[in-house]
Amino acid sequence: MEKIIIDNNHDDLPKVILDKEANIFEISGKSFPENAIEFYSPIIKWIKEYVENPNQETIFKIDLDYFSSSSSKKIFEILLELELLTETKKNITVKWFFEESNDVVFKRSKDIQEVVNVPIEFIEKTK
Amino acid sequence: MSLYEIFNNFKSDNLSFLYKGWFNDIITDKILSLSETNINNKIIELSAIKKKVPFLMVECFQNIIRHGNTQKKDVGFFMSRNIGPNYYITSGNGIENAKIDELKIKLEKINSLNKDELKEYYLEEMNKDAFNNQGGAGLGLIEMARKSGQKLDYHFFKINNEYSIFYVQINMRNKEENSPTTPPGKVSFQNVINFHKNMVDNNILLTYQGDFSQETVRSIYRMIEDNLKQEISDSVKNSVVSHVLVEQLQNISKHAYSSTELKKGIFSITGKENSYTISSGNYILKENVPALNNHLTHLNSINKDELKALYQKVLRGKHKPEFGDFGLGLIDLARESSNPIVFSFVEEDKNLSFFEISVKI
Repeated sequence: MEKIIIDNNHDDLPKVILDKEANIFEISGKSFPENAIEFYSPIIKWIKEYVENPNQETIFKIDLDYFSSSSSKKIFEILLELELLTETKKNITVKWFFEESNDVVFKRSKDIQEVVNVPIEFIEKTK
Repeated sequence: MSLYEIFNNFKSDNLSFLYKGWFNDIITDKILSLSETNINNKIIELSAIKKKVPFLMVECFQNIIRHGNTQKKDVGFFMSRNIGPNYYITSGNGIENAKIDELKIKLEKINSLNKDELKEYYLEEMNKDAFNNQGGAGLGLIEMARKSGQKLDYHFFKINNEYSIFYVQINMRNKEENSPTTPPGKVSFQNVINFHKNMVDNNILLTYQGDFSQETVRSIYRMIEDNLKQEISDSVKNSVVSHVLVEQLQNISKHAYSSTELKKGIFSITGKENSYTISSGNYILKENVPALNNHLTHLNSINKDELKALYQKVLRGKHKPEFGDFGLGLIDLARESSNPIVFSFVEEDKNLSFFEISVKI
């Protein structure tokens, strides 16, 4: 499967690594794209395909300092796809990094967690 | 002055940017990037003076920093306006009355010199500066005059027996524009003083009027984020302010009505004693007013738990609001607002209304 690597200097777009071979799945940085649907659509498409034929162990890392309301909808959709893995014999864990002081982002992460059925491990970042 | 009144004052400008408060190099950088963004935008085609404007902005800032009296940190003021082919840059800073005469002599001297003499004067002052290591503002003023090729327009506004505000203004004009005989116009100092006073009286930290492209959203975000870290010691509040800011800015960039591809709107931050109000305004089609009005009234009528439940319902796609990409933005604003959201609609003409929304944090 071809990997997706999005690495840019734009403050409003996150860094993304989706690499099945290396078993790395990661979204980090800040996310407030002008058009969240457009930005996340290839990412969600990739994850949909991955879920059809996943690795034995998937650790999906979310390390966002900021995400806008339209991004939260898309993160929810990503998690919804990953939820499908819980019905298989493969392992899925979401590691969601947060900073206690980053109140809004942490609150929204919790809100999303409550409406998806995928194991999420919240990990406090130490600076 | 309400946001709508401020908007009416500036709406014919391509860009208006007003900033009040203490400046440091970080802020200088960010405001500069904001202006460069706008200069590079297609709305402002001032190719002839493009390169000069950022330079002059830096000089204006340094003018504020060097002259600024630290005890009077609130009086720092910066304004930049692009009106037609003209670009106006104005700065204001506190100065002790006792130092005014000395500065006036310097300003008059600068204004009396031609290009070559200015260069000579600059070198002279630079040498002096190296020896006694004082001032430096003189150099900035000389550079402003040199690079703009214009006389410095200045004004002293007396605050009390001890202090005044020293305003200096530069007007630049796109030479590629027709009608070369018209000299650059100017924004009267009385106007400048009024805007500045309005900002001080209403605790306005920043007002931006112009196009809201994603570029602008990014620039403002960067600027505010860096500034907030210094202004707001409470990091939780800091995160809330950043979030509300992005949602409001993107509301304008996504939903402002526009007959062109420019998204015109206004945005301001008001702050006092660790409480901040973020306001934005833009045109919407009049036919959308009733539904938006109902939606916001509803959001104001339900409590925080109900808002959270609504947020999750929308997330799960069980409820599709008519507003926004997903309708989460306004719910988020309601959730983070410490008071009910304040909003209003003012009829502009038979098709458009001006929609204003304020969130207090």
